[in-house]
Amino acid sequence: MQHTIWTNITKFYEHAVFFYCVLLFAFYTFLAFLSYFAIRRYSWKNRIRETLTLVESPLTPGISVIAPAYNEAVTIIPNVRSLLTLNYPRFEVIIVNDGSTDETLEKLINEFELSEIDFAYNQQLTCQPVKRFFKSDNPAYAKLLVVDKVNGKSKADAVNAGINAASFAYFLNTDVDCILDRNTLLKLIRPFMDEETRVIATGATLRMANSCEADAGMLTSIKPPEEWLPRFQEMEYIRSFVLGKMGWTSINAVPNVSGGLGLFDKEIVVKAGGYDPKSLGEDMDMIIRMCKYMCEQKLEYAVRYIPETLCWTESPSTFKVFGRQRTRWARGLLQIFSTHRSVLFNPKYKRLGLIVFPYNFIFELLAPLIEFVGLLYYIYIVVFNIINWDFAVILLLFIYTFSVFISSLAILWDQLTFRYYQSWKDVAKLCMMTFLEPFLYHPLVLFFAMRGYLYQLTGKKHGWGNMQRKGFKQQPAV
Amino acid sequence: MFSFFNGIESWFVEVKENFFWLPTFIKGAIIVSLLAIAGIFLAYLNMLLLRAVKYFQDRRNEPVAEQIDVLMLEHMVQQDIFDEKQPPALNEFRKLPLHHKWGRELLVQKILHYRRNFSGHVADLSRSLYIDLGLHQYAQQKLSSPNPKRIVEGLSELFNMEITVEEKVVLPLINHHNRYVREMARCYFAKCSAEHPMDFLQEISKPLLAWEQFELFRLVTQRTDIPVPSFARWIDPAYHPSVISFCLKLAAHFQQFDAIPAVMSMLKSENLELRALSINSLGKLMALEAELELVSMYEEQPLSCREEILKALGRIGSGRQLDFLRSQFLSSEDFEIKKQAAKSIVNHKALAQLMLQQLQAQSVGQHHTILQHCLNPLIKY
Repeated sequence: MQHTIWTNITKFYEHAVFFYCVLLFAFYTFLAFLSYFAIRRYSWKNRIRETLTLVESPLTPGISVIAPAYNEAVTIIPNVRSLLTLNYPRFEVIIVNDGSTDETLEKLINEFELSEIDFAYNQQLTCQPVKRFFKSDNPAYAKLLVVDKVNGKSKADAVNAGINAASFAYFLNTDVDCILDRNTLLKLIRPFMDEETRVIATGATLRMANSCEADAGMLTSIKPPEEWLPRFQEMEYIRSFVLGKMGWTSINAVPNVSGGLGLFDKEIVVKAGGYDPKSLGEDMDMIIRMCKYMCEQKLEYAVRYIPETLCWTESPSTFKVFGRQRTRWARGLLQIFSTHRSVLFNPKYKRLGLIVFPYNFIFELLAPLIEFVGLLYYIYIVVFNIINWDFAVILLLFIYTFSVFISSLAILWDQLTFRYYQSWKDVAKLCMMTFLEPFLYHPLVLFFAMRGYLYQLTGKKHGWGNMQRKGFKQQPAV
Repeated sequence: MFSFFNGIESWFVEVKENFFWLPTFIKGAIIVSLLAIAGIFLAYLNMLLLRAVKYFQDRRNEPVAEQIDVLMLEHMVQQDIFDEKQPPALNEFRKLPLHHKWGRELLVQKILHYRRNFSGHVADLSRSLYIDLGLHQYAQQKLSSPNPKRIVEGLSELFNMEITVEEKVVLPLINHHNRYVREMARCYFAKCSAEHPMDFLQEISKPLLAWEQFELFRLVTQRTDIPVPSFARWIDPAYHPSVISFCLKLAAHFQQFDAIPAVMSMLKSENLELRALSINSLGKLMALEAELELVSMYEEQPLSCREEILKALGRIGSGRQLDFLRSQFLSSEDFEIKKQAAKSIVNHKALAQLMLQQLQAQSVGQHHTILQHCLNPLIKY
């Protein structure tokens, strides 16, 4: 009797997991189709829209570029220079020095000829106290404002301080260690201007800059990372942004705008309460609160993504830093679902409650758990010799081939639109990762996700740590 | 090693032979795997083909593009240097492979490129060349296409080359079901219509998006061949709110003082955004006659309109409302109101010098910081 019940349970489990996989694959295929059409539509629109219109128009809205910096002395100067040279008619750059203990602030003061000023600071959002404000005496750096504040132990806290000091109705949230495309602001503001529905946030693709060459904060040579760990991440980002986010954008169900690069409607961010310094996934948390606010106010809204890479960032190249990052992401995801659990399957929140949250709950939050339990089950059936090896191999091939297929499609979509890598060797390097990912990279992601959940459930204290920047490869002087 | 591969092969054969007796989910998994393998193969084949096609296209286009550049430089750009202007050397251009679609498209792209980057004689010559070679006919043909994308491409080309088409062809496109066609048709009208470039505004029933407003704004400001129309005509609640908001901005930009009464009539609008924009426009028009009304309506306005009123009073800068601004600066509870009032006092320049000295001497804490902020020339916004 007991044996029959157990057999039925295992049978049910096997079928449920298979159904879960099929559903997940169906979603991915659906997203791949949607993203293909979204990318094509974007490319066509790009051809008929002249960027010059925004550059020349006196109606173009201003943008505050907010970049928090914590112990970024190695890269701060070229990166601030890069931000100051963005191509946009009306913008300011706000660098929030989040209590750095290295020479970040001193370097900024010396390089940009900064002086302390009295600044009318409106603390609309909670954050740690601001100590000083600096503006440059040199008119060449008139757009720069440096905010020096007490360390808030999170990026969210620093961004809130930046929003409080921002002058414009839109703000770009980025990291000071990122290198942005010159036309980032022109491209990101476009969806805000080009839709009947109120757009509350836009994002764009991020890529790894580990093997790129930079000169004075501008990229001079673009290459995929030479090291394997960053290259895996690059492939993962392409899949997530080009295929995933572009698919979601076409049905207005973008779950998250990356903390590395996102343009936001300040009014909605402030009304939604700003970034939560306690959140470990502050970027996703912010978007969810913005969407929640819009739904509660019964206002139509849209969150959009564009398939162009506008931001290059240095990705973790050591297991230690990578692990810390992924553990934090997993904790952040779990935290978001416990904070906003009322949203799940709640029709009041429309797309957010019926698409974004359920998808992320079932296929993002539960996926590592299901996978982990699956691994344990595999071990169990192998140990007790109740495994059907033929079926096991077929099912593994099923998972493997589909995951390679989806990653390959993402690279193809990327190639169809904007070819960042001219050499076929560079593309081949990325393609190689699609075949190796399930064996080498994915287990790592799974391990750190499980560790994140465990830490979150056991309430282990989170230390942010600091990724030691190597700085970008500088172009050799001629 | 061989036995390993033989083992795999025999396994595949076994699976193949027993396929129909396998459980459904295993059959499904095999089919999905095969489809995925085919998909992977196609994806990489596509990538290779894309590269190959691009390579051959570049190889085909490069010499022609170079040839076009040489001809353009020789017959267009260098012409500009000489006093005696010659018509374009058509025969030279006709030697290009214009019988091929790609050849024509390449030439059109180059002509557009030169037209965008040169003004004066070069731009005029490239337009003449475009017409004389009959390239506009292909663009015109696109206007009757059932595909909206083709229509947009055609309109965009004609628009950039400033080719006038009969109004009866373009007019129906203004209310086309596709928003991009509509948008391009409106831009085309604003740029190419000889007499009434903005008349389409009265026909608008769907919102003019911000992007479209930017485009139209740019086109209107660039037209020097006709007098700027009076935008007061469309500042009327009978028109679509987006048309009113667009015309409010244009009236303020062109400093059309005769629009002030129309703008003032919008102060009673129920639409909050329109009301705020009207106040903003009155400020930009430095409408002295609106000052009293703005002050009298201040108390019952929401925050956004209050801020705009304070901003407008600063722009008008008559000095008559300085006491009102000071009282707002000192008594308001709202930070933004205080800041805006202080900015507007500072905007009065010499007229407010005495008041500013007094305020600076008296104020402490937040008030002092706000004043210092507004007085600091380093802070632009």
